[in-house]
Amino acid sequence: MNKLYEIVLKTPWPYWIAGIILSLLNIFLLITTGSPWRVTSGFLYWGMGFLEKLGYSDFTGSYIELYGGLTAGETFLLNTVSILNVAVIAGALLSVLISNEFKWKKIKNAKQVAFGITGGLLMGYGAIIAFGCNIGAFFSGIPSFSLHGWVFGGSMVVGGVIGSKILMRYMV
Amino acid sequence: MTSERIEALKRRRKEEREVIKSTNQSPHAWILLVIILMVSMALFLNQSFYMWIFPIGILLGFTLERSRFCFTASIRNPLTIGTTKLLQAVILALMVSTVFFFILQVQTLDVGNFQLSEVPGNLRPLGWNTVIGGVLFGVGMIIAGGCASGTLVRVGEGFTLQIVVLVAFIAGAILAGVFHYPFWYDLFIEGREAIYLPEIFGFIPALLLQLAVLGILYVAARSFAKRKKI
Repeated sequence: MNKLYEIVLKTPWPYWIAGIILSLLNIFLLITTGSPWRVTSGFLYWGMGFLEKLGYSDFTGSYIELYGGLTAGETFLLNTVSILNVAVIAGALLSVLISNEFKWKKIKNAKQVAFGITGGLLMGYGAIIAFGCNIGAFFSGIPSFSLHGWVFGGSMVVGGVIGSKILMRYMV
Repeated sequence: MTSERIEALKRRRKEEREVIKSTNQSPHAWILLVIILMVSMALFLNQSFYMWIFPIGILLGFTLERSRFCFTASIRNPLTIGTTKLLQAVILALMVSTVFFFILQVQTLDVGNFQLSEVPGNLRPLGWNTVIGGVLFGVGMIIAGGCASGTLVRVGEGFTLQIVVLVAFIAGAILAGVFHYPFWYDLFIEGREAIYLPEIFGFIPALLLQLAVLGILYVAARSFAKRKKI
């Protein structure tokens, strides 16, 4: 029993098992909530909630106005995708705490920050115009048999090749 | 002299014990678990199906962290260090999901007569915006060192850098989704519909085709890694 506990909670799981668990969780999410796993629209909701707090609320022609996503009673802070995003952070935190590995990992240098900010901006921008990130468009879009998932996946790999070149040139 | 040495030893032992004590984080894990249960309850009271979302999200985050499963690394590793274990796992997960989604879609839909809006899943319009967005996203995730889910997981692991990435991610999403959205919408998106593969090929052929393509990609990834090794 103790050994099982050690294996399940303290050692890394094989990738393929994790992949199957993620697939199971995704279909379970689709059955229980009517929508598969998504991430980026949750970030957009948070951002729009922040804009509202700042007094900006003219969302004419925005992604949300055209494609909605929030059901009745949901707000920019409290909605399916935002809850899921907070839960993913908490789940990862729980995992590192159980294996006694939590530590604040400090930023090493300014270059890292510059790459992080640029990368973050590109991801946010790209995910919104393409209707999804690596989760919504790729991990949920392809199993949904939506062709945009495949095209997104292929484009993401092309971007990955360009990104790796940039990384090798400037980071290492 | 000796008593001084003994005192020093005692002090050092005590310090060592304190170090060990501070690295045992299971009390924190228990506290977090209680908070998670309380939040799940509160969400359930707010809206009953919210109860599922929070625990599922916890399990998603837990699985991603425990396995170091990372979509970014699945693409970066073959390009930089030549390993494809992770890429193979991603393709396998897509195959498993494909079967699950297929069963659900066939059970939900009236196969002969259905609307695209009735299909369970993420069906979205396809256009040049998909290509441009995909490339931007791919570049971004490699240089930021993590995709959308990976950024969330690393925030949970305590990486300060990924908090910065998350804020930039949100800023990028607002820029595109609020301020620039009319531009992209007019240019590529307006009037476009999702392309649903079973509508073109039929349900069973679409399933077999998709599994075949994923299967080929899996084998290709495996032989790519073998070739790189030699």
